[in-house]
Amino acid sequence: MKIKTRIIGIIIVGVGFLFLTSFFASQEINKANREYSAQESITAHSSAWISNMDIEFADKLLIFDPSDGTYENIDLWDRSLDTFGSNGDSNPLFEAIKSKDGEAVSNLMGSIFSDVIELEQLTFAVAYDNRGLQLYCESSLYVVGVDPCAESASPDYFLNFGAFAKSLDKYSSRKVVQIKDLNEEKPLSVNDTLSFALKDEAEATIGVIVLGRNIIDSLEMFAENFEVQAAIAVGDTPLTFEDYYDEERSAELNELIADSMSHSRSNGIYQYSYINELLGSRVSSIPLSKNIRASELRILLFDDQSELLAALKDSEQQSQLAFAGMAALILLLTFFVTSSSFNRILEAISALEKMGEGDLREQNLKRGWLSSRYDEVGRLQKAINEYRLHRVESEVQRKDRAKRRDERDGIMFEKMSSLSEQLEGSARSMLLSEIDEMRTALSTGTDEEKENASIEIMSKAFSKMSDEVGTLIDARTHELVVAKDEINSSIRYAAKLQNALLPKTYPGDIDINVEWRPRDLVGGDIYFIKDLPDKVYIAVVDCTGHGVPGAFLSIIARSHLDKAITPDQYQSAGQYLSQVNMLLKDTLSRTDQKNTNEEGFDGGVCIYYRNERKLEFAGAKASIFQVQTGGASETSGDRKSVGSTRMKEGFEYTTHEISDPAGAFVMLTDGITDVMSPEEKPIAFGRRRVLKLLQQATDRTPKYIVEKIMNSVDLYRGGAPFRDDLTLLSFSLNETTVIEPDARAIGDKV
Amino acid sequence: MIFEQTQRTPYVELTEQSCSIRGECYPENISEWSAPVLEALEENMGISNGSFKVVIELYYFNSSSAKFLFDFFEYLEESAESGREILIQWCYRTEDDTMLEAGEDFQEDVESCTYELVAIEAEAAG
Repeated sequence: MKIKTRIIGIIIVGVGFLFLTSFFASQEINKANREYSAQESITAHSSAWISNMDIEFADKLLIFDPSDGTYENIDLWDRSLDTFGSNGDSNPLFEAIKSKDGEAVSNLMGSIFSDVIELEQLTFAVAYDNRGLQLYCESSLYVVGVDPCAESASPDYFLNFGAFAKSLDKYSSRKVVQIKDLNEEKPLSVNDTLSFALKDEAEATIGVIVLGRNIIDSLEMFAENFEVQAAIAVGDTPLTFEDYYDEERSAELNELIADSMSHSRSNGIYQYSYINELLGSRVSSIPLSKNIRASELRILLFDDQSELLAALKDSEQQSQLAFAGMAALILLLTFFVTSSSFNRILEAISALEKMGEGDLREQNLKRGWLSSRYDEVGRLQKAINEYRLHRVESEVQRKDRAKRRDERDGIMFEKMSSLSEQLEGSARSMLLSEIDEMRTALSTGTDEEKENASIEIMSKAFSKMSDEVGTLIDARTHELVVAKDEINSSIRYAAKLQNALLPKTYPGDIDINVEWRPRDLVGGDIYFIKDLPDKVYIAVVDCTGHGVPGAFLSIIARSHLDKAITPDQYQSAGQYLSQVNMLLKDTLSRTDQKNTNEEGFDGGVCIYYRNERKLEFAGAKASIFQVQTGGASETSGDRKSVGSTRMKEGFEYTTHEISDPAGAFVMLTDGITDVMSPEEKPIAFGRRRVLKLLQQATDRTPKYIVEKIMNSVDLYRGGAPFRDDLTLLSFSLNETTVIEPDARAIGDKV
Repeated sequence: MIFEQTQRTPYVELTEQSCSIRGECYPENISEWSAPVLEALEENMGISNGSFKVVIELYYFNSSSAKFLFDFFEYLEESAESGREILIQWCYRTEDDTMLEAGEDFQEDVESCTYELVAIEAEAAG
């Protein structure tokens, strides 16, 4: 069963239950209402009737009571008063009764009651003697039912007059008295009566007076006033006005009476009120008097309720109609709302199903009657549409991905094919068959499988290519190693060349010891010795820079050191160094160009003039140390580098003449003095330390001196590497000088 | 502005009132290091016209770094000539005659700046 059918079914059943419940509830309420109104009706009718009766009694009967009546009337029954005004001080009525003088009694009583009866204030008045002998009886002309004064009339108290008389012994009595017609010609009459006894001096009852009013009159008035039909029920016998007036009872009344009698019979009750809907009447039964049981004597009242009942029925029908109308409306609305909602849900479901089948076209999801975009279904539709758009987007992305994958795979295949072409034999056929397998894998299956296949292809292709690249890198690395080896071997060869430029043999008359140590294989430090017949040039030079550039510069410097020499002419050390400076500046075109680099060298030159046994020194930021018996001394050169731009035009280096060239001499580059201690804030080895070492030297041979200084330097620097190229040259001049005729520069030949 | 110390270059701190250089200086290529330092010096000195103090405490510099120092002092000299009050303190450890001599060398070239050679106590291991 569809949910819609179920909902509608539930609503139908619910409405049915609601209807039944309200129906039974209204029945119950009606019942309660009826009971209540029955009770009300009984009470209202009873009290109205009884009070009516009581008022009538008080007005019309009680006024004659011997003790409660009017003063005037009370006197009538006073034995000792002659209210009739006949013979003095005794009451003639008493006499008449005592003497059973019917005529006299009738005259006296008639004087009191004839007018009253005629005016219908009383229906009848009777006087009896103490044994029930009727002495007087007078009744109204308009009496209904049996005439109380007729021969055939039989009042109920006659059944036991003695007891009746005795009951009046002390007080007068109010009684409902039924009078039957012994001939059964006239219907029974029912009367409200006041009875009292008349007594003699000895308080013995001499007579009984009964005054009565026919209740039928009152009842007729009551019925008229209350607009009801009324009847009397004596036991089970009903008496109606029609009975009294010898008329036919209406069929309706008969029916009502029969209904009431049967109700009383079947329920065993005599006081009730109910509505007979069929007859359209309220049927009530109330006791006739307070002093008589309803089972014996009661009044039947029939209140026409047909209009009210009709109105009630009408309203009931209307309410049922309204209920049915509401139920129908609710059903209809529910039907519409559920139909439209469920139709929308069905549409949504079918849209989702279509989407599931891959149909991503926009489905026309309508808005139904009595629904909004923001209700549950509206939101569902919105969500479905968003989902659809998301699907469309991911479909586009998927296609895009697939396209890119295809392109990528295409490139892969191309590259792998070209790779396979470079292979041979089984490797080639293996790769080709792999490519075929991959192509198959890529052409079938779901997107995911294709994606996986593609990734696999990529990884395979990458591994193949990385193999290739690895091989290539190996080849390149090999090339680099070869290149490095070549460079290293070049440098090693350059070192050989630089080494070859250094002097290998020294003049015989000079003892020379050198420590030459470029920081790298080649360096900017160089030393130079030129042995001429009459003089010897010794130079220790530190060109700016180190390594290969330093070495280049050192070669230029050496060439200028050689070129500046004037073999046949005296030249002082200062002149010589100045000449080198000039040549170097020319070479490096210092003067023309704004070259900011400071290529050049620091260093010192010595010229030993054999004949004069004279030593001259000139220095560019360099010193020469002399070690003698008396100690050591330092001779400093000028503080200008050779090749420096910071030099005034025409600057000449100073010549220092060492007149007594005894002992050993030391020349060095700043590779020695700039050796740093290994601390964080290091201090350079410095010239003073050199000087101090020389002063402490016990042996003054160049070999010893060089070793001592180098040991000290090595000790000083600890494990720290050299920062610069270093050159340490020590020489001493021998006492005897040998002059060689064909002297030439030592070290010229390589 | 601060140039951090490296194995081959000194620590340099520059403000608009002072410049201090401390450490060793022997980079492979001096102009690579010195160009930004000189630029920063000009920039900082250009900020104001007040007195400027230079403190140099070097332990070692190679010959190409000497060129940088010449340029450095030359720039200071030019500024001083144009009226700037400049004080240069060349600090050296009492044991370090190499640096003392270097300081003396530079002193010869300085005329317009106030130039002081300041001996400082070397640390225990000196």
